[in-house]
This record gives sequence, structure tokens and C-alpha cells, in this order.
Amino acid sequence: MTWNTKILPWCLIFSVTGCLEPYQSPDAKTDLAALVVDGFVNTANASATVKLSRSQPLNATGEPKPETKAIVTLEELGTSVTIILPETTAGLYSKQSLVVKSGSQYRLHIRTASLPNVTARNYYSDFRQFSSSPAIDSVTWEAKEDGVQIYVATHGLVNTTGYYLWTFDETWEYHTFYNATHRIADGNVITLTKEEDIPNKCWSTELSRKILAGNTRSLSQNVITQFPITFIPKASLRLNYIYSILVKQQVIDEKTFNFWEQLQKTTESIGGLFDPLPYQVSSNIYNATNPSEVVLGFFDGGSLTTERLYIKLSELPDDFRVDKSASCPLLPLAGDLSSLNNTYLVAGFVPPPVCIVCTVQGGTRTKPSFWPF
Amino acid sequence: MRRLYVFLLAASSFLWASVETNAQDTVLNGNFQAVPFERFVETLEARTPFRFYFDTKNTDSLFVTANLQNVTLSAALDQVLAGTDLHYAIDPDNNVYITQAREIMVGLPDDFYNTGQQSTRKAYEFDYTEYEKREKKRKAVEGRLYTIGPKTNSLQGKATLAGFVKSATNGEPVIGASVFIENPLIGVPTDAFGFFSIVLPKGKHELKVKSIGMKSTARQIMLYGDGKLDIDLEDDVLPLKEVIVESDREVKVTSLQMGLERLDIKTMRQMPLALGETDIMKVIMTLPGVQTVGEGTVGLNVRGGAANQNLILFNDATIYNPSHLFGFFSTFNPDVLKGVELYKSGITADFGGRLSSVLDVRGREGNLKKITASGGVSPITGRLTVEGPIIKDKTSFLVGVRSTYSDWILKQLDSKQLRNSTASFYDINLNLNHKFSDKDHLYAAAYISHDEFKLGSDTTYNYSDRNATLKWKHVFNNKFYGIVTTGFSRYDYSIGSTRTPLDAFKLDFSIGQINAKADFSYFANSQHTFHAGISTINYQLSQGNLQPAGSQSLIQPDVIEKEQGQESAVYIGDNFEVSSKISLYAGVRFSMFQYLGPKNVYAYQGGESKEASSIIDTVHYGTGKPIATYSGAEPRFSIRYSLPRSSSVKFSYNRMRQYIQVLSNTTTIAPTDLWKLSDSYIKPQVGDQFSIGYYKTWRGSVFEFSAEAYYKTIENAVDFKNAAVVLMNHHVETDIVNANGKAYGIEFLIKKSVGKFNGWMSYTYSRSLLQTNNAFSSEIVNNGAYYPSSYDKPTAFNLVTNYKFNRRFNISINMTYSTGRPITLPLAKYELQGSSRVYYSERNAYRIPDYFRTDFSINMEGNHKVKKFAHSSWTFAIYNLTGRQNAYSIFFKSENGQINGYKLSIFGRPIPTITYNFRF
Repeated sequence: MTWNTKILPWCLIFSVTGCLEPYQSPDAKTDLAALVVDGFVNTANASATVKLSRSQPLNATGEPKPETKAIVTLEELGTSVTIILPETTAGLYSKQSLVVKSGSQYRLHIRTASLPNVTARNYYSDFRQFSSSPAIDSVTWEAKEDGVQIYVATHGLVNTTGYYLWTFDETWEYHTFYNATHRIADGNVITLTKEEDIPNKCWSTELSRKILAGNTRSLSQNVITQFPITFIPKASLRLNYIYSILVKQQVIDEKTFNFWEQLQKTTESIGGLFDPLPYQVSSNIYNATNPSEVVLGFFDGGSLTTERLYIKLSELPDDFRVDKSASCPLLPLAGDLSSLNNTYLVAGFVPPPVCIVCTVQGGTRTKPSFWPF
Repeated sequence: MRRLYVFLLAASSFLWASVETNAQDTVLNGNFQAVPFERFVETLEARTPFRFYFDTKNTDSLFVTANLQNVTLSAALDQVLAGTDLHYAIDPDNNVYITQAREIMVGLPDDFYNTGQQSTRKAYEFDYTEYEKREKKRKAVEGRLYTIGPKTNSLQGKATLAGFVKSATNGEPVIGASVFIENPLIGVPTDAFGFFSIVLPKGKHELKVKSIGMKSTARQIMLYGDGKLDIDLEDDVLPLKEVIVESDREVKVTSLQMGLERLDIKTMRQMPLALGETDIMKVIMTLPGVQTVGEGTVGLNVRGGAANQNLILFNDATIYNPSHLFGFFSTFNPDVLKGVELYKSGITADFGGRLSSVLDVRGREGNLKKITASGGVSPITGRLTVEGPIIKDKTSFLVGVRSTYSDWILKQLDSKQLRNSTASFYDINLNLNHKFSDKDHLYAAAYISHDEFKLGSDTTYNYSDRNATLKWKHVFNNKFYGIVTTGFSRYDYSIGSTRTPLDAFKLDFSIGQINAKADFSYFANSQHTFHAGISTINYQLSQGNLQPAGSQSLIQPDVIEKEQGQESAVYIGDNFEVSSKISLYAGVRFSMFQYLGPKNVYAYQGGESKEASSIIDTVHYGTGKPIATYSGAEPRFSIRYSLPRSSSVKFSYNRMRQYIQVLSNTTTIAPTDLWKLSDSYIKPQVGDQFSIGYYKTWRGSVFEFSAEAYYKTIENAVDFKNAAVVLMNHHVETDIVNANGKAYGIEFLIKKSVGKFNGWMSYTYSRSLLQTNNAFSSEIVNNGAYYPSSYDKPTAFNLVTNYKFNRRFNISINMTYSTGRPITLPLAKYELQGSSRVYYSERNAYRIPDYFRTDFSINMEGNHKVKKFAHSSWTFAIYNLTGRQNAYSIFFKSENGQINGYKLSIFGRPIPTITYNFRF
């Protein structure tokens, strides 16, 4: 190998991929605690949920502080109808069995609590008309070299432009590598016979965190085919046994689409050489007396349509089956039994807990009510 | 005659010498048998008054065998030295000089005074070496008295002398050479054609010519009247001797022009390189007042101006994107370049169309004498240039090709993302020039550059710059010449994706311009030189043509309506030498721009911010119908006042108008930038600059110092509303805000241009600010206060040093420091829809970390034999020696509910490169 061929890749790697390293902004303000509104009226099941919280410094740990004791109401345009959303848990204001008229416009009115050193403030959202979403045509998957890609497809009214927002919940059933045969309890080895005593099956659920907004602005028809929803890497626990995804679809207007797209652009896809600069994303909620006060979040509503998809490991190509025998060695039982309380055994051997107790990986042993298998 | 016989007994020799009062008549007797020449000389010196001078290196293998019988020393030496290449000369003081290859002349040539006396001994004829021949010729022309104009008795008044300064080696014109006389001090520089015209008092003068990298020369002239004199300059055969810009050392002080940086290719070759290639843009970035938003970008920000406010000319053709491979290379092949001039202020009236600067890049014209080739191999590129005469001394060509093998390299890499990436580029230069006569000269240049890359993603980027120019120069007479130039420039770029067949698309853009101009220079008298001209440019822009790719694609074709415009200008300027202390330039350019149909133009509801929702009407304009017309005068003025002790002060003012701009909400010149003509809504940008400077040289121009301060205002700068959409926007005026800009700064430069140790050091403090002052809140950025532009980098420091150990080996070290550029930083985080989000600061309220870099390079030249098949050199360089991870950008991402900040560095480690260059 000559000197040249040695240094060539070096130069190129540095020049093209660059180096990424964590960065702490030196003096970003820490005292900005703006009101954050996350409100949605779901006309499909006539419920409304408004979550109020405060923004935090970037380096803050823990959950954001909920905004409690506020008075949250829905107001109908042109009428004096107001619907109060009571606070169900701290910072969460919700109501079921709402009566919202289609064709009417609603806005959110928030009156924050009056505290000894802070006076109450009034916030309003813009008026919104709630639209209903067409059904999802399909949720499909495709096995790729390094994982599974999930897509959604839908279509709207002919000769209209569709703006869509998707969210999803994922649930997956996974099994441990070994089925436990014995358990040590109080210094004794107990033989496991009942299925509910064998911790080999678990279910995990996660809610989507990505903003998925799509439109048909540049298409000749209001048709979305193969909009990528999420990608599951090959080694993911999600593909251990049965994977399920519930895709929720909402039709939005152009302004709402712009809000989510902007929010996505500034917080999810920045950093490429040609990405646009970040900027302040404006909310549709404002302080009634001080319009320059920073208010974050968005209020919207509409009907959600959903579609669920299941993928079984048996449907996936053979190379998706991961052989874990190497990472799950069987060790002989040794030591004082009393110190090994609650250890699961398989035929007298002790595998690592992750190979025999499914809850170690965060799931629960309770089967979700909708799970059909 | 008194005779003295001397008997000598040496080991194997004897000698008699009979010495007379006149030593020349001494006769020698002796017998020598294989005596070393040195012993022979000792013997003679001991017995005769002769004293010998010789180099033992030349004589140590010479043994004398001779039987001398009553012979003179001349006869003895004739015998002794016969058959060797040694020669002797005896002077009247009895000194004897033994030399190799040729004899020393110890007296005047025979019969110098034409007395008819001839000496008996014939002068020895020998070959001069090439060097001596040239020196002799040079001395002959320098010593000769050139008579200019018809002989008259009256030497009253002045006369104009004009001509071309050319390289004697390849016949190419020498640009920027100083042609001057010293008493009184009158001088002019040669122009882009090597042409000069100088008005001198009639009479006898020594006309001196100096230029960078060339040997200085002089001509004795007897000026009776107007006339012509062409001057050939010798290349300095030892290129390392003139390492750093020597550019007429006094020029900075004595010339009228301020804010001009002139660099020649020899200087640029000495600078350490990032990727093994001489890059004029990177060198320019080390000059005061020139900034870039980040490494890996070619966009220049000159004195607080945007990257698109620079007029980049390559052989008079406009270059729209001077970058290759995301900006890691500039598109100028170093082998075809002659030099570059950057005008930062005091821009003369012949240039126009951009606010900030003019970067005038000149290619070479091709060797008129013989065919030569040059090239180089670096880790990423290979290049080859061939040039030579088609008709000797009349027509020459130059072809340069450069390409990359980065595609091949990417395939060899381990990373899957990189393996799926492609990146390739090439550029081709073709220059032709033909000399019809001394009065007519035709130049043709063509240039193509092309880039194509896909970086680990599914989107392919393509762009290419193509242009050609044809230029005819006619010299009417000594005082008056004209140039007619015509040409076109075309810049095409496209983005495409075929990831999913249903969304596969191709998005094309193009910008084309056809231009013509005529420029005239009139050297009226020793005080006035006038320049005047007219020009016109026709623009055709396509700002987006979205088409489906493949039959399955559902992408709906979408075409942004083409736009066209015509920019015309007339100008006149006068260089006026008021006195030996004061000279000034005054000029005016009158430019006019018409935005032309066919085009549909949206009309907006008055009293509202322009939004898609406020469109009330569409007005159609027919072909060639003016939609909007703008015009204005652009005054230009400079003055220089010379101070004692090689120093001067200068002041300049210029106004520029710009009718075409880039719309981009990224900070760099990206392949997706949108060029846009001024229209009914986007008004032309107008920039005014006031600049004042102080210049001084000392220690015989070894050191040079300059300080320049400037204040600039920009009207109608373009900035964007938040979340502006630029691509495929049919009404882009709705996403733009009008901003006013101001920029000010002070630049210091100290330079040592000669000696073993040379280089320069510059410090700049500058600001560049924008302000939006519009009626509607969506058009106001940062509440209408002044905010830093994206390229506002207040402090900049550059150090360029070069040390020559000897003529074949030199090292150089460069250092660059600058304040980080402004960014918009996140201030707080919040939760929305189950995920953490970021709330950002006001626009450009914070800065990325400061930039600092040190580069190092070693140049090794082959030997310096003039006659040699190929000259080659090696350059070993380390870019970013300290490995500092300079931030290219800072950004924050929301990942799995956490907000993580990242710093992206492109050249985050020392990058060694090795380059081989050749020329034959």
C-alpha cells in the first residue's frame, strides 16, 4: 500500500462526513418559562384534551412543570356557548362526550391561576373549524436489508389538496430466549407449571414522538402512497415476535400543516449542509393583553381515523431471526440458594435474566386488550 | 638587452628564464617531464615576474611535458595548454589568468581605436552559454538607444509612447507590470493585454520595466515624438526567489487604486492547501476584509456583503457558482490561471452589477513560442494543461482539464453511507488568441465546469457553469484603443430523486446571460486618461421546472414562469494626474434595468402584507414588454495624496447597483440557491461605500503597511420571513422582507515581500448589520432593530509566512482567526405531542465558537537547470495543523424526547496531503 492510498480515504472521510460532537450552548437563557399549550378536540370520539405546561431550560432534567389550576374553556364563534374542560390530572384539562357542532368554529380560552406574585392572564387561540379525516387506505410494510419500513397510504376528495398529520402508537409482543422451568423462592427451587408463572411473554407500547406531516400540493391527485411512517431496525426488540402499529390520521389545513412542518424543520431536520436556518415558530395562541408574550404550542381539532397493522416474525425474511444463544449462555447453578431469591432457572441452569425474564426489557406481562393473538 | 640565465633543477625538470625589463619579452628555457601544472607554475613564479591566477579544480589533472627553448610565455602556454579547454590571458602587469572554457579579456579589443594596428595573436573564439547569450542580448537591448518618433531638433513638449510588455519565454502579455521613468517619476501599469501608454517629456530617458516574477529591465529611449516600443521580459528562472507577491512594491503607495488586492499564481502556489490543490478562493480569504461563512464553502463575504454581491469574472465571463464538490474546491484550475484581482473599494466605472466586490480572474493565453504541458496529481484531483503556438508568435492555444477520482475513492470506503454516495466534477478551459497585427488582436475563451453528487441520501445534485467569450482588441493609435467583448454565461442546476417511483422527480433551474460590451481607453495627455464604454446583458432565468421522473411518478409537473431582463450601462471615467502629489479618478456609470415579459405578475391587496391569500389579480405582460424599469447613476470617485517618506492617503466613494440576487435561506452558496432578477416587488439593491486609507512603505519597500476604513450602506437587501419557502414558490415575493444594511470596518495589513522570510499579517474589525423597517409584523425581523447579518464576523486575523531555506526548499505557515458567525440559538425546551421541542432566539442573536486554524506546507522543487525535460515539484501540506475542531455549524436536534446540541466540524483533524506538480 502506497502512502497515497493510505491517506486518500482519510482526507475524504474528514472532508465529507465531518465530525459531530455534542455542544452545550454557553449562555442560552434559562429563565424563559413560557406557557405551552397542547390542545386537541377529537370529534371522532367527542373528546377534548388540553395539556398545559411551562417551557424549561435546555439542560433541565425531569418533566416540564404542569400549569395547574387554570380555567380552560372552549368558546364557539358567534355564540356565547362555552364548554369548560376540567383539570383531570395536574396540567391536563379534558372532557369526554363533548357536543361540538360541525361547521362551527371554536377557540380555546385559558385563564391561568392567580398566584400571590403572579396575576391571572388570559390567553386565546385562533378560531378553528374541525374537519373530518378520510379513512386510511392502508398501512403497509416492506422488509429492507437492514429493517422494516412502514408506510401509510390514503386519499382525499378529488380536486382538493390534502394536508395530513399522522401519529402512531407501537405495541410489540416479545418472548424471552428461554422458557423458565423453575424459580428460586425463599431458598427453595419451585417448579413452574402454570403459564402465568412463566415470565416469557411481554408487551411494550410506545407513542410516536416524530412529527409526520404530508401533503399532496405537488401531486395531480389528492393521493398519498407510501408515506414513510417509521423504520424499525433489524435488531430491534420490536421485531422479536409480533409487532403492531396503530396509525392515526388527521386532516389539517394549510396553516396547521405549515406549523407542524416548521416545527419539524427547526427541531428534527437541521444540521445538514444545506438545511435552512432555524427560526421562531409562531403559535396560534396569544396573550390577550400582551401579544408579544411568548406562547408555545398549538390548538386544533378534527376527527381521527386509525388503522392498525400487525407484523409477525414468521412473515419476515429468515435473516430477521436473531440467534441469541451466544448471548444467553447457560451457567450452572452455584452458591447459596437463599441469596438467589427470585432467580429463574431453565433445567437447572441459570441464564442471564434478560434471556429468561421478559420484564427486564421494560415490557409488561399484561396482554393489551386489543391484542388478537 | 640584458639577459639573465637561470638554471633550475627540479625533480624532473629544469628551466631557464631570461628576464628583461619588459616581462612580456622574457624568454623561457626548460625541460618538463610530467610535472603537475601547479609545480610548473611555482617554478615560473619563482624565476619570472609573472603571477598566475587559476582554479586548481580546473588544473589538477594537467601534467606538463614540454621542452621549452627560448620561447615567450605566450608560446609556452600555447604549447602547454594545447589540447585542453584551458585558456590564458596575460595583462600588462604580468598577471596570468588561466580559465576554463573561455579567456578573460585583459584589454580593449584589437584595433579598438581603428589605428590599423593588429596584434599577431588571434582572439580566441568560444561559445557563450545560453545564459550568457541572453545576458549579452539583454545588455545589447538595454544598452541600445531606441529612437522614438521622427528626429527633430525641438525637444519641447511631451509625446506618447505605447507598446506591449510580453514574456520573452512564451510571448504572453505581462499584466500589471510597471513601466516608468525615475526622473521625473512618471509611471503606468500595463493593462490586461500587457499594453501600456505613457506620456513623457520629449528627450532622453531610461525607461524601466518591473513585474512580479520577471526580471526587471530598462530601455534607453530618445523620445522625439509619439511612437511604439514593445518590451520583452525574461522570466525569472528561479521561481522560488520571488515567493510572495512582489507586485510592484511601490504600487500600493503610488497608485490611485485603493481596496485592490492583486495576486499572481506564483504566490498562490506557495500557500498551504486543504486538499492538495492551489485554490485562488482560499488564498483570497486570507486577505483583509474577505470572510467566508465556513470552510467547505466558496462564497466570499467582502466587507460585510453577501456572497452573491460579488461579481466573479473569469476571462470576462460571469461565473455563477465558483465551487466544486460542495465548495471544497474552487472551479478555477490553477494551471490555466495567470492571476486574480479583487476590488473591494474604489471600484472604477467600468465594472458594475454587484454591490460588494469584483473578482477578476484572468486565464493565461497560451505559450506563443513552443508547446508545453503542465499538471499535477493530488489525493483527490488530477489535472493536465497543454499550451503552445498554432502559428508561432501569432496564434496560441491553451487547453486545461481537471477532474476528480473521488467517485472511485468513495467506493473504497468502509462506511455504507459513503459507499452509496457519489461525487464527481470536472472543468475544461480552452483559450485561443490570435494576433493579426500589432493593432489587432483576437481572444477567445471557453469554459465548462460540471458537478454531480449524491451524499449518502437519495437526492442527486447536478450543476454546471458554461461560458464563452470572444474579445477583439484594436489599437487605433498610440493614445487610443478599444475592445469589443461578447459572450454568454450559462449556469444550470438540478435536483432529482428516485427513491420511491411514485414521488420520483427532477427539478431543474437555469440562468443564462448574453452580454456584449465595448470599452475604450484614451490616453489624452500626461495628465488625463479617459475610459469609456457601453455594455448590455440579457438575462433568461428559469427558477424551477419540476417534472415527474418515470411513468409511475405522480408528481405533477410544475414550472415557475421564466423571467427575463435587460441590464444596460454606459460609463465614462477619467484618471487625472493633478500634480505629482495628487491624482484622482472621477467616473460615472449609468445603469438601467428592465424586467421584461412575457410574464404573469400577481397583484396584491394594498395595505396588507404580501401573502398568497392577499393576491387579488394577475396581470399578463407580453413578450418584451417592460414590467418594471429601474435606472440610476453610479458615481465613482477616488483621490490619492502623496505624503513624504513613501506614504500616501487615499479616499474613495462608490455607488453600485445590483439587479440580480440570490434567494437562499441557507448561509452558504448552495447548489439549490435561487437566482432572481429584480422585479416589480423586489427592488434593485443599491450600495454606497466610503473608504479612506493610509499607505506606507519603508526600508526600500521591503515593508509595506496599509490601513483602510470603510462605511457602507445597502438599500433593499433581501432577507426572509420566518420559515420562508424559496423553492418552487410561484410568488416568492410573499416570503421576502426588504432590509437595509450597513457595514463598517477597519483593515490593517503589514507585509514583507522580499527576503528569505516574507509574508503578511492582517487584522480586520468589521460589522455587518441588517434592519427591517416594514409596515407589517410578518415582515419585521427582531422587532425592527438592527441585527447581525449571517456573515457578520467582527474580528479577523490572518498571518501568512514563508521561509526559504534555499531556492529549492521552502516552508510556509499560515494562521487564521475569526469571530464565529452569528446563529439563532435555542433558548428553551418544551413538550408538544409527546416530544421535546425547542424555542429559538431572535434571528442571529448568538455566535458559533471562534474559528482558528494553522496550516503548514513544505515545497520542494526539482533542480533548477533551465534546460531540462520536465520540471517537477512536490508539496507536502498539513491543513489544520492543530486539529482544532472548528465549528462549521451548531445545531440542535430533538431525538427520542431529548434535545441534543451538536457541533459539526468539517476539517476537524490535521489533514495531510501530498501533491506532485509537473511542467514540460
